[in-house]
Amino acid sequence: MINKIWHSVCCIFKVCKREFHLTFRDMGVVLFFLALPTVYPILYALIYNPEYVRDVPAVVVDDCRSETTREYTRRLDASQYVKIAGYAANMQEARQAMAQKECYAIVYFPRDFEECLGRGETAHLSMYCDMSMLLRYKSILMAQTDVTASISADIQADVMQIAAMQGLSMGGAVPTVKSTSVPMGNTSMGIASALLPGILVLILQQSLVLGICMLAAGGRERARLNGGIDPMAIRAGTACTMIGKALCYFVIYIVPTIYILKYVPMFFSFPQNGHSLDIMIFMIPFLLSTIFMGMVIQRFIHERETVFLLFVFSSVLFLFLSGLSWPRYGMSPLWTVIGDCFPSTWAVNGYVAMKSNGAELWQVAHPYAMLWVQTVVYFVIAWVVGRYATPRTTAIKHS
Amino acid sequence: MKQLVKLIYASIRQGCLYVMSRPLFLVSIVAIPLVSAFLMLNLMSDGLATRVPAAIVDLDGSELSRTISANIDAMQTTDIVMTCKSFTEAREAVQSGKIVGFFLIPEDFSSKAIAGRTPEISYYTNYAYVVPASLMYKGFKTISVLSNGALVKATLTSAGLPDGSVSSLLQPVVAHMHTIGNPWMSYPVYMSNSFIPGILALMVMIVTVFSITDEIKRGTSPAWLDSCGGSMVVALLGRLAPQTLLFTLTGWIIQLSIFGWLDFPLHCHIAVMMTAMLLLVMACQGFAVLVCGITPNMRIALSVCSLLSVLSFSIGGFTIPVEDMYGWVAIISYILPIRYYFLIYIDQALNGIDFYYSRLYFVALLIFVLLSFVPLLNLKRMCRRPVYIP
Repeated sequence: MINKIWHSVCCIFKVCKREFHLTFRDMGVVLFFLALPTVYPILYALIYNPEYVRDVPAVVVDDCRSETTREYTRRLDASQYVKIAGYAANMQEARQAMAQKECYAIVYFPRDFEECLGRGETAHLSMYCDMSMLLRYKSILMAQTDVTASISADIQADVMQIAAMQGLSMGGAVPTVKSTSVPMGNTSMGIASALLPGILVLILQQSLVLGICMLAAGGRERARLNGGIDPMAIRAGTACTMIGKALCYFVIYIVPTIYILKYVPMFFSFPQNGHSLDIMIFMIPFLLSTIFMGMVIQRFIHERETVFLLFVFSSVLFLFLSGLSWPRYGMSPLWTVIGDCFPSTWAVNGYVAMKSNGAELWQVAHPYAMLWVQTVVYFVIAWVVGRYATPRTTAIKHS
Repeated sequence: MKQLVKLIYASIRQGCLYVMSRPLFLVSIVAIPLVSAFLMLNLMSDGLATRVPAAIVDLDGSELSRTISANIDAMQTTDIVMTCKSFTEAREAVQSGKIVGFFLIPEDFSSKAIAGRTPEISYYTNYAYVVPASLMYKGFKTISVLSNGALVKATLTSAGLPDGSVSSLLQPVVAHMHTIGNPWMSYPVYMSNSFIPGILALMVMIVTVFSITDEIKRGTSPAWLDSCGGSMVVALLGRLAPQTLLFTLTGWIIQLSIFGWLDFPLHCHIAVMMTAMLLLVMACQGFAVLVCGITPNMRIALSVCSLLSVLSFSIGGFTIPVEDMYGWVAIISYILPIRYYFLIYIDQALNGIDFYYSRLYFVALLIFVLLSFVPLLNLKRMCRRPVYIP
């Protein structure tokens, strides 16, 4: 019995050693395992780093030309979200400016704007907003809401003074309800700090699976050239081979994981709450489940380069399934369940909860447990597939 | 001349056989783009992710605070999934992801309101998830403005101001927001016309690189060239034309389901968008041929195309405007064909402006097609002496 265990342990270490050797001799895999996790997060962070959309150009069509409309325009221009690109004589001209991409919003004051205010009625203005990009719309909306509120407050104050002069007794000041909005998690409310934590986790998963598939397909290609037997493979049981390889990938990925999840957020000042130790403990089952998922997927990859065709596109789908862009509560049960099947979904949400919202390990117990469940399930599937499905080693037909 | 036609015919026939030779190609050309399109369109079929899970922390427990709670619960944007007894409980619920935010009514809220002192309410939103957070912010903001309005109105009316002028005093200026092209503010309308063609463009690039460098990897490229009369142009035409057809058909199916079946905004003739799709496919192929010509190493060429294509979802300016990126980052956006397709979509389908404004984008896509002729000599040399580096 003890002999058997000792033999297995030896096998595992032999497989692991050989896998290290194979990994570092293969430039393609080294690129996936080390270069991709090093460079990609930086590239992504640089794209999103401006965080906000500032100074969206807008054009004003002012049919009223009163003091209030000018003040409104001035305050819009002063806000950090919008800048006034200029005045247009009429809507036709403004639309033309929009078509030429000189502006992305049109502000229109009707002729009776000031008159309405003077009569004590509500004055209306219109804003036309280009919808090609939601962030731009959001900036325009923010500027509009803020400026309208501040102008309204000034007008209210004026009217109140007049009312007081007319002798209306209010019994002191008019009480108002003060309201404060407090952003949580991503306190800068920027796009980079919201998207990047999730993308970082996805980069880990995708690069790991790509590398594993490429290594396995490389072995298969060697076997094809060598009459069905890979000369570099260690003869060991299916489980021992899997554990040995997993050990190798896991050890290699310790450094990229720490770099991506701890230091990249530090470089770009993304939210950095949560204990690093908690996060690393959380990532153990994530790496393991991803490795075993990779071992399942590799069965469908027969050539080193087909992994590009069959797997690269999935990054976008995993991003959507994780609920980072479109929230998970808004998906139909079908997609929630499909999303549940991949490590990225749980890891993205768990990591965001810890890194952005400062959750502790017990608060992400559910995703953590699910990652362990996936580790076991993917291990079993990979074992079954590896044990019973004989890989295709015959040469691929070529026309 | 007759000889050339014969060669082209033979080459195209060989290209068709090549695509049919392995299920891998049909999976990558047809199945992957269609399945991805289905996933993205079906995933976001609600249009707007309303009913954001939220909580109320009512520390006051008065009639007034209960009215506010009821108002929040009745709103379309938020769904009150729990009522918390303390701030800590609510914060922990946000941290563990059960809710996206909460509305806090402090202890002395109603007594302060009645006494005419300034009561305070606050709302907490988790901006780690931007889309639901923005929706929730909008809902909470509305409620707090309305609560304020109700209080001010009651005070002013009791002081003797006529009812009509009180209402206009509460809102002296109203701004009407008109969202051009997407009045529903639908998220899928915004996302699907950039991300789905993006996935198609990614597959076009990778499949093109794969099917050219595959010959070099196997060492069959000299035979391939010979069968095409030694002409790289004929060889590429034959290899890529069947793929162009299949990819374009897939793209058209996607466009028809987006614009026809789902009725997403289309303010131009569908033929304009279909032409743009054809040009997108050809431009991506041109780009891929260019990459192959520069580096005929299969793995490196595939890596370059994958890297750029996956980045294109961010750098193409679908989420963050190119004008707001750092200049030297933004410039990369213009070397990607998908960027021009996206600009054509905005001008033509979404905003419906004159074709004149989009003319240059079409030209840009054509330039990508022409670019494929640049590295042909180099590519031919590599095909003559194939070297495979794993």
